[in-house]
Amino acid sequence: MRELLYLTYKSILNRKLTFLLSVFSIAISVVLLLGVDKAIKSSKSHFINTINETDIVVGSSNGSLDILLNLVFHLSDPLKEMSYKSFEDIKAFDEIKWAVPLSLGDKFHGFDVVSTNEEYFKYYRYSSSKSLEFERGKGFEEFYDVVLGSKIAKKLKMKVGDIVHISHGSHHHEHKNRDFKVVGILNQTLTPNDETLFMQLKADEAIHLEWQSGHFVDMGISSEKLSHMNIKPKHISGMFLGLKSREIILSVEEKIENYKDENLKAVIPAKALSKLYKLMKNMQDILMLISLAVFITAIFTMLSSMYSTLNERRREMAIFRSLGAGVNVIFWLFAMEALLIVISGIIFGLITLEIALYVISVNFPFEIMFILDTYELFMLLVIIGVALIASLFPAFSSYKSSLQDGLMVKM
Amino acid sequence: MNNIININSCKFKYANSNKNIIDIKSLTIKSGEHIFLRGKSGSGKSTFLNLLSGVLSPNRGAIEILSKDISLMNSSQKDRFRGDNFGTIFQQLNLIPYLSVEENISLACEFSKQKSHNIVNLTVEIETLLSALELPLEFKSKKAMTLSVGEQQRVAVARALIGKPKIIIADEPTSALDSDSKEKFMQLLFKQVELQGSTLIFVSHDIGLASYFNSVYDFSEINEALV
Repeated sequence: MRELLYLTYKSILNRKLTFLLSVFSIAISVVLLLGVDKAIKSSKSHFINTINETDIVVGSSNGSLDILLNLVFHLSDPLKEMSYKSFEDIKAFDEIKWAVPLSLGDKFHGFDVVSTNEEYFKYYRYSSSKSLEFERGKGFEEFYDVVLGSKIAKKLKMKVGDIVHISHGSHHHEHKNRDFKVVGILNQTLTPNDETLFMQLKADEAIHLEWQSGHFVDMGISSEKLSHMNIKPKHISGMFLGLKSREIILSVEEKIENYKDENLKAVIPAKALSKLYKLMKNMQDILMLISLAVFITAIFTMLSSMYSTLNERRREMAIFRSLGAGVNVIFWLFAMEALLIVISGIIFGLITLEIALYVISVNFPFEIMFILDTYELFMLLVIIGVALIASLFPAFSSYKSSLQDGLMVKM
Repeated sequence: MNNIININSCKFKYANSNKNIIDIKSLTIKSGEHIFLRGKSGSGKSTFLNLLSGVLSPNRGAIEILSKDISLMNSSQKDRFRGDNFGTIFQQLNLIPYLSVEENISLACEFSKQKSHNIVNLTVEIETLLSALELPLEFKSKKAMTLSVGEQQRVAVARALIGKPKIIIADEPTSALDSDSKEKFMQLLFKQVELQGSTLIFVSHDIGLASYFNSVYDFSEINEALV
C-alpha cells in the first residue's frame, strides 16, 4: 500500500501537466454543477422576494400579471389608472396598516420614474425583509426632491445635490423649467428599484399641470409658487398595501375587488411571483444541462488522458509484474491515479465554489447558502460516484492487458 | 548439483487457439547452470518464459522450480514466488522512467520480502552493485530515463541481482546494444551471476554469445509443439 501510493505519486509527478488539467476539468465541473444549482436557488429566492412584506398590490387593470409587471417591475404597458379617491378609501380600511400610492409613466434618461411618497422607503422590503437604505443622502423633504436607484446613480455618475429634469411620458420632452434635486441614492438591491428615479407624487401632479392633452402650455407659474399650490393627485397607477395581519389577506383581497366605486384588482405578490417564476424553469433546465455536459466532458478528459498513457505504460506494468507484483497491484496503480484526480478535482472544485460564493455574497445583496443542501449533497455524491466508476475503466483495461502481456510485452 | 528447474510433459495453448504452443517432454536445469536458449521469434519462447515465471499456467504437466510445482500455486502465490526467486532482464526499457536509478533497483525489494531479507543494508548493496557494474555512484539519484540504453541495461542487471534471487532470466538483453557494449555487458553480467551463484537462463537469437555458456539449447528442439 505504501509503495503503491509512492509509485502513484511519482507517476503523477512525471505527468504533472496532464494530471493538473484533468483535476481542473473535474474542478470546473463541480463548480458549475453545484454553482448553477446555488445560483438558481438564490436567484429564485431573490426573485420571489423582489417585493416582500407588501401583502397586496392594487391596480385597476383586469390582469393581475399586468399589475405586478407594471407596479413592481416597471414593465408592460401603462396601466389603466385608478382614482386617488379609491386609494384614500382603501387606506382607511380597518385592516390596513400602511398604503403607498404609486404613479408611473415618466422617464429619466430612459429609466423609470416612480412617483410616490416618503412611506415607500419605509415599507418596501426585498430579499428576506431587507429594507431600502440610503447609500448617500436621505429621503424626500422638499417638494422637488428626488431619490435615485443605485444603478442610475452609477451609470449617470450622479451624486447628491445634482439637479435633474424629468421627461414627460416616454417622449424626449423634458420638464425643463422644473429643477429637481437629488437628495438620496439607494443601496444596490438587485431589484427594479436600482433602475428607478423616485419623486414625490404631489410634485409629479404639479408639473403635469402645464401639460394639456399632450402639449406643453406655459402658464408662467414659478417653481416656488407651484410647490405651494398643493395640487391633489386625481389618478395614480396603483398602490402597495401592508395589512395588520396576514391571516385576513384573502378577505381584504375580496373586499378590494368588490369595491363599489371602481373596478379594482388586488394581487398577492408572493403568489403571483411564484407563478411568474415558473416561466423561467426552462432556462434553468438548460443551464443545468450545460453544466452536466461540462461534467461529462471532464470525465472524458480524464479518461482520455489516462487511456493515452495506457499503451506506453504496458512495459512498466510488465516490469512490476516481473518483480512480483500481482495483477491487482497493476489495477490499483491505475485506479489510485484516477482516484487522486477525482478527489483532488472535487476538493479543489468545492474550495473554489465556496470562495466564489463568498465573493458574491460580499459584493451583491444575495442571500447565499454556503452549506450544500440535501439535493446538492446528493448531486455531489453522484459526481463522486460517476467519477469513481469511470476511473476504474482504465484500471481495468491495464489489468486486462497486463494479464495478456505477462512479462513479454509485444508492442 | 541439484536440479533447480524440472519440467515434465508440459503443454500449453492459448484459450483462443486449438494448437499447443508449448509442448515440452522434459527439461532439467541444474542449480548454478548458465543456459543459452536459442530461439527465433514465434518459437514460443516468450510463452515459455511466462510459464517459467508463473505468469501463465500450463494446461497439463508440471513445472517444478526449487522443488515446488508452481503450476499448483494460486496466482498470488506465483507472484510472490516470482518476486522472491527471479530476477528478470528484458530486451530494453527495463526501468520505470520516472523513478531514479536507486528507486528502480530497490523496487525489487519492495515487492519481495525475501529479497529485502537477504540484504543487510540496501544502500550499501546498491552502491556495491553499481560499482561492480561499472556505473558511477552519482547515477543513484538520476532519473532512469536520462540514462543511455547501455547504462539502463546495466541498472537492469543490478535490479535483477539485488536480493540474490536463485534464477536470473535474461530475454535478449543485448539486442539493443552495440558490439562493444554487448561484450562489456556479457562480462559484467557473468561476473556477478557467478559471484552470486545464480542460475542464468539467457534467451537470444545471437548465437555469437553462446560461447559464454556451459549449456546451449535450441528452443525448437526442446519445444516439440513446433515439430
